[in-house]
Amino acid sequence: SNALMGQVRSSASSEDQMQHSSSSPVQQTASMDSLIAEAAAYGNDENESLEAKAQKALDCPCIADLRNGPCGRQFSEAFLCFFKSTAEEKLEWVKLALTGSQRITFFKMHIGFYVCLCYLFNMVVAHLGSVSTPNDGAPVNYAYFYSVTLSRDWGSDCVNPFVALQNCIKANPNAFSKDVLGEDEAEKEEQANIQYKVTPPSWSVESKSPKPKK
Amino acid sequence: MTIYPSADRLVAIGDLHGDLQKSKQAFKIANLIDDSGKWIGGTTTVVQIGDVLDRGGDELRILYYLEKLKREAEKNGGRIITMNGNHEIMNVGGDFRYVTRSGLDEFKIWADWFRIGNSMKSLCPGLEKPSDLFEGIPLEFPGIKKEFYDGIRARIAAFRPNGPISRRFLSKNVTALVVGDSVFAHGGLMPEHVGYGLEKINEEVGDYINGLRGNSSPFCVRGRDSVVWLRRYSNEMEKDCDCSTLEHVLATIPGAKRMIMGHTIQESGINGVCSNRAIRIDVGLSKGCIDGVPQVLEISENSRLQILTASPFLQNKDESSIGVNVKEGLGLLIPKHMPQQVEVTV
Repeated sequence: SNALMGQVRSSASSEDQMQHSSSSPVQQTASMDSLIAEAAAYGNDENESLEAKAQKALDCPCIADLRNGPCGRQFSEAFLCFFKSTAEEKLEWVKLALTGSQRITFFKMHIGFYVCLCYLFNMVVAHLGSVSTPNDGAPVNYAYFYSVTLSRDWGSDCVNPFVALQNCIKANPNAFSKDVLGEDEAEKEEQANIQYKVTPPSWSVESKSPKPKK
Repeated sequence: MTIYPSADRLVAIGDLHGDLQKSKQAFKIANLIDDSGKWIGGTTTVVQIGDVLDRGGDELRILYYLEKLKREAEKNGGRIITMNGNHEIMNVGGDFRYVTRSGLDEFKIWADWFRIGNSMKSLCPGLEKPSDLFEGIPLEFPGIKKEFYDGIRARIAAFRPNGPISRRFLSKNVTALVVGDSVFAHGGLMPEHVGYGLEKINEEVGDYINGLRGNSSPFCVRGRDSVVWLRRYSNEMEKDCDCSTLEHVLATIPGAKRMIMGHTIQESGINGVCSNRAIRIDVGLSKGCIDGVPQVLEISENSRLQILTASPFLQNKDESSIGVNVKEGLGLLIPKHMPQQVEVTV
């Protein structure tokens, strides 16, 4: 299916407040449908294959830094997989990653659908999480919840590229970090002085008196 | 939303407390999910009565899973409504008394990934820089063992008002709920809560969780007689339950015939008191509680109440072959006015 011009279903959820519209792409009201259609219309060439569009998206300047470094390859593969998912899937990603007016702002902020996707993908990747292995030994992570949900429902499967990306990051913790060591030191000094009220679990508390030695 | 019309089929599920496996069993016995965890509940409305957090290490997994299930249910005309329990409110307020070791570890891992994601966002020029996850959170906690500092910091960051986990999941919960002729609250409602306004309660708690009300939780969720801590209708013996106040409360909610509550573990399973006008559905499901036999309450369109229960004899380690059975005649004390228990073959 065409990743850029897929049909978008209205959601019954009050949270999403989508207008159901079937007319021209550009509209007065900032409805999700119209914005997606507008973004899709920009730079969209029907004659371009999905593969060519995907390569174009990879050339998007805003992900240039993410494509470098030790995990650049894994990032690109995960990005491409995501890019090739349907518009409906992408909309679900937007809903997961952004809230309310953020979604509208995000689509309006950038010109061009490819740039939208860069931002979108970054927002989504920002919510990657990981947990330790459950009883059966299979790794579980939050990308799983995203990807498998979408893949089981709509047929694309981005679990493997996401897991590969996570594994690469685990092996290279600084793969995507900026060089801001100076900032961190200053922050650490500030934070040391903050009072904060928290009631800890009893097992985490320092024992008050040392146990007598026998 | 606070008030919903009556549902064709309504299923109420009690406290889950960080045990994903038992949580899924509860959904399974009500035919809401298949063996792969996918929604098969059709147009059923499900109410989860709160206390997803604490006592177990699967908190994040359950939150994400319920979120996914909500989407699936909605696509099929069903609905899952999640509620705040006292443990949700406690965690937002930094009260970690019932957090487990694995609970702390999970959040440390979560925080590491969250910050990696923020670093990735920072690499994209032109994007708004994400704020520091740990802004305003101390590096040290005198009195707490050093090895737990990271976990504590992460959990504070996640759950404090406007924290990412609070925003994403807990702010979507309701605190007081009406579905048809059933009223839901984690602990229970007092007359002053109805007088204050159930909508208002939900709004204020939601605002608090989203960071719009500073660091003090709203009165309605604070203290022994609050909506999420009340036990007045949940004592083991009916004679100790405040049935007259319950009647008063139900009388002031249009159409209300019963109040359904969690929060107080019912060792003999789901049961009702005050002529079944107070139904207590917390069975201590989690292994961090009493590892109770999964039970859920089912209410059909004609207000018929049934308890769906997993058979302890058919249950085995392999959760895909859970059996569901009726408990009549197995030597358990069944209160006179208990809703009928039914056998459900899975």
